Amino acid sequence: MKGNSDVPDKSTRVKWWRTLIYYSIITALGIIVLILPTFVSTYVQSMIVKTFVFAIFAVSLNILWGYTGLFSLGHAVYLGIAGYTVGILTTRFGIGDFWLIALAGISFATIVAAILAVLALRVADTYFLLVTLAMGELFYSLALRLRDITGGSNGMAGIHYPNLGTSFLTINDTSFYYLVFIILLICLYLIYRFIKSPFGQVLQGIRENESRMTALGYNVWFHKYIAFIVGGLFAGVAGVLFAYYNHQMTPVEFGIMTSTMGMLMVIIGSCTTIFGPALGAGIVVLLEHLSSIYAPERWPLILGSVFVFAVIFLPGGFGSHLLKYWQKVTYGSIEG
Amino acid sequence: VDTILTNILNGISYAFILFLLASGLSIIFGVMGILNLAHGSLYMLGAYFGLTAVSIWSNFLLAILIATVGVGLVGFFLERTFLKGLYKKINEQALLTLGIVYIATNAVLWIWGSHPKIGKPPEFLTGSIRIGELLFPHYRLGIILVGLAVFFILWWLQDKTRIGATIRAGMEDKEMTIGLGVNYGVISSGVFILGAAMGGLAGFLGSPVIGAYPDISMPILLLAMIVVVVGGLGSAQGTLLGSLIIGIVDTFGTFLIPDFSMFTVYVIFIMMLLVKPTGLFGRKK
Repeated sequence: MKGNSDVPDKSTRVKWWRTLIYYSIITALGIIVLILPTFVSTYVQSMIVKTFVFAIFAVSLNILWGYTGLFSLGHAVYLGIAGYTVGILTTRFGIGDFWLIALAGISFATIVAAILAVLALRVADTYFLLVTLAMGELFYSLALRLRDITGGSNGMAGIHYPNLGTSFLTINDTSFYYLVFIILLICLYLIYRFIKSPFGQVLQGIRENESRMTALGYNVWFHKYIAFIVGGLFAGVAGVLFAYYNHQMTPVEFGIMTSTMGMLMVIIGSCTTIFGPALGAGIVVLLEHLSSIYAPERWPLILGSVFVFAVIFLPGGFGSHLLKYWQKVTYGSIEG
Repeated sequence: VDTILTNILNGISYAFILFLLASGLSIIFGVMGILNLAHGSLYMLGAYFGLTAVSIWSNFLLAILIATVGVGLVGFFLERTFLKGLYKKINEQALLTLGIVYIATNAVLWIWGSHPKIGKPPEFLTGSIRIGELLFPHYRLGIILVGLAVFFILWWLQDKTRIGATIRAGMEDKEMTIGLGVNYGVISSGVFILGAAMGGLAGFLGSPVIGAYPDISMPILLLAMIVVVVGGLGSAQGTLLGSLIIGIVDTFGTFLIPDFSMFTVYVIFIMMLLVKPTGLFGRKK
């Protein structure tokens, strides 16, 4: 029902309604998030912070997976690198300035991504998947073995909140919540702009048909390389926040478990929308919480079953279904 | 000289465990195009099935049978229930089989506990033979012989029999093979069961050397993957060569730099990818 130019009234009215509903939902969500800390316990608050952190991680992974078609199983490496940078600077060097540490963590994660991308992008498809998986495990065992730097299997504990470089604002649980929320919004906005930019469109072209993009004269390797680095950069942002949220870093953060948690958020949320993975992050954190109450020992079993379930029964994820529903409500029909 | 020889011999016997393990992964991928990241879990299940059978009946040969057939059945179940519908969807296969890894790891922890288990060689293979100055355990020699036997059976099956010809035809062009009246569904299920069963066999035979614990899935999977990447997917000769290289390098690595043993293997892996991503015996796609 697209493009009926003889009924302009109806389509403008629908468009107006759509915009109104859209902005009211966004505003309502924003207000709920802003006033929530006054109503909920610190525990729930920290769960929401975790959701925000993993939302950044999952959305950054989706730049590679959903928009470039690079299926990376080692995305946790950049989260881990940034997190360990925070840990080392805070506990070993006693640096407390948030901006300095965040800059260091994110830069370091980006540099590592830029190096690993050169290796990983030499291969494609299945081999790419295997290589990134092996890279994740390599960093996991490095974190485990380099005890002098990383603290070995105990990891680094006692990562306290940073200061913001100003005397009137100190960071506690509540202000950290707002900080993470603001950073999440900034990241989502930047990633949105990145995906919608001409560069992001080329990435989607590469995902759909690589040889055609080559034929059109695009430097496919370079586009993939930049996408890989940008993914690593935002995973680094998530890593910095994760270190502060968790107050410690352990080698597991590098490993396949963290990478696959991100994967699961993307499948549940949908890899074809920008914000779907953020929704997926919420669902996975909630599931983990429920499991920690009722069956803490069985979380991997539940996680694995959710994987199997999501792959078999949820192709496209919740996000894409929500999007379809949204279009149905606002347009009265589904647009392609 | 003695330590070098010991390490080489140990490396070779270790390599044949890797060969049994990796050729399962390689066959399943090469023939069916299924990337089974749960292969390390099949190895683990093989070890636990076999060790449980030994503790009940204390019969080593029966335990081999149970480990192989049991894991083959698990593979059959996985293929029929989940993987059949994911043909050519590598990403989905990877995610699903990773989910299986979590399930298997936690189930093993639940049933058998977290305590690592080490297998014991059977009565008839407890001694050692004397090679020059040094003693080499019968059991490790047995592993080498079993590995060689499996290699020749695979090679014969793949290159000399009608089944092998059908499988190779299916690898080249699945639709055409089916069009010629071959029941490819049965053949591919058979290949998956065979691959899974080899993972289980490797797990049980490897248990006196490597041991078994609930978190062993990922390290084992990585070793198998590296072997397959070095040797090239879908070729028995390549897998054998890859296993020998990785087995010997890893044994020397563990001996010389115990803290960073895995890194020697990773270095080979990364070098291989930089120089020849398709592996030593890989065919070009």
